Amino acid sequence: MSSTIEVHIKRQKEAGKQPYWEKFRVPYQASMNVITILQEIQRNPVTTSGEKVAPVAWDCSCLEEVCGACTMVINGHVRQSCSALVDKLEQPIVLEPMRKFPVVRDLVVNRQRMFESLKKIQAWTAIDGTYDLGPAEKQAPQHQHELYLFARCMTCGCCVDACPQYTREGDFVGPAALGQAYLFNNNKSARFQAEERLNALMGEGGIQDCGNAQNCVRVCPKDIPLTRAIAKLNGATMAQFFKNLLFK
Amino acid sequence: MSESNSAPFLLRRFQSLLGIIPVGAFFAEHAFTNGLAFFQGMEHWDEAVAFINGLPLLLFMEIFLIGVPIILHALIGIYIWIFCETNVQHYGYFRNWLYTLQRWTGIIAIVFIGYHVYKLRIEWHYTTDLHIVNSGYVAAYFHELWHVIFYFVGISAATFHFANGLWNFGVKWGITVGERAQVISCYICTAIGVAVYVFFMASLYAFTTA
Ligand code: SF4
Ligand code: SF4
Ligand code: FES
Repeated sequence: MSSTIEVHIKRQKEAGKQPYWEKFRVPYQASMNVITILQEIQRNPVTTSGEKVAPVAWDCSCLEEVCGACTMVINGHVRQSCSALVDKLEQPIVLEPMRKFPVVRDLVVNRQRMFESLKKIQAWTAIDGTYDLGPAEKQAPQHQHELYLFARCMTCGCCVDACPQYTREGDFVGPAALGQAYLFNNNKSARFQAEERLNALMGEGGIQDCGNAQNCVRVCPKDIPLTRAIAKLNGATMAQFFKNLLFK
Repeated sequence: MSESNSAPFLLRRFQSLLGIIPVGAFFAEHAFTNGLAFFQGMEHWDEAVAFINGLPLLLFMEIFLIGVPIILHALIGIYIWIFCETNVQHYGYFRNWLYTLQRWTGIIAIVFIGYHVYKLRIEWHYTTDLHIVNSGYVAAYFHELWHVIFYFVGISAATFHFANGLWNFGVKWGITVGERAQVISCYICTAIGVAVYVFFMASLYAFTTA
């Protein structure tokens, strides 16, 4: 292992500006991850050509791959930078902001659209009312287990970033929101809005926009069985479609 | 909740259904008929063609049960394609390749089908006094090498598109849900695709050597 690491970073001064590339070299330390590289650059923001530049902006929070804030494209592949270990990466390490979201600055992106998608599918349990709704119904541990897989979603956006059907201009809600629709439709308390979610999934940007490339499930750092949820929702939306057609 | 609009959903499911019924079904039937040329001999192929040409309302069926569905399937398909960003250069996963190839093979198939229908279904009405096309005419058509290559490429693309479309259909209609089910259905669709492909290629061999 060389004693320095070369890093190429795709930078951007602010939203809407032209991106540009800069190269840095940082001293190698044992068990380094991409965040420590970025901290090193922040400490000494000098490019390989000796020019002192503004430090690179990035986002992070939990540092243990549960918040998703540090997601970026590392060597062409979308993932969390806190869990991207330098020893396991090919060099030079190439860092780019996520591809499907508007860049705020350098490696920081705005993932608001993901939250808008969650709103579209009502990714919550409706508990507000004029009276106490009481405790939720009991559920089988197997059922709880299956749903827990989906509860691990951290809205990091890896899945949508790798989805060929999720484009900057488009309005597809994306695989994460589909996974959450599945979660809430099967949750004992949240399922009362199941029809509304299914109907929302048949509108613009709904489930029909999925083209089955299945990249989402391959890149999800939490191994969420997204394609299984999508296939189940495909059946459910179809059933809902006929229900609307015949009974409404 | 306001009246939801399920038109986008309907459009896509309609497109996927058209690809299977009637387009895919016709494609498989076409493979079977053509295969007769190799497996049973040219006379049987000619007989089968004569039988099909004796069906009632043939032109009506050709236009409304085959032509129009293919065109609709293609137009909606191209419309869908415009809004995607293929990314196999970044994520070279198997399914992502199939997803990307599904789009390209669709385009190749449209070009192939257009020319194929013109040459082997329409043109001879005006240039010959044949009532129905016969094996001799088709064999002559394949005397040109590029027609053989064109057929080979066109059928390869169309067969892939058909078999992979069949697999997609299972997922899109919520039939094959689990990972294992999707692997098994992948084998089944591959087998169907291979069978269809063998029939078409056997017929190509029969016609080029006739
Ligand atoms: S489904 Fe997976 S990849 Fe997508 S946002 Fe959730 S955790 Fe990230
Ligand atoms: S399976 Fe659907 S949602 Fe997942 S990456 Fe492919 S197109 Fe996107
Ligand atoms: S900092 Fe939270 S996932 Fe990396």
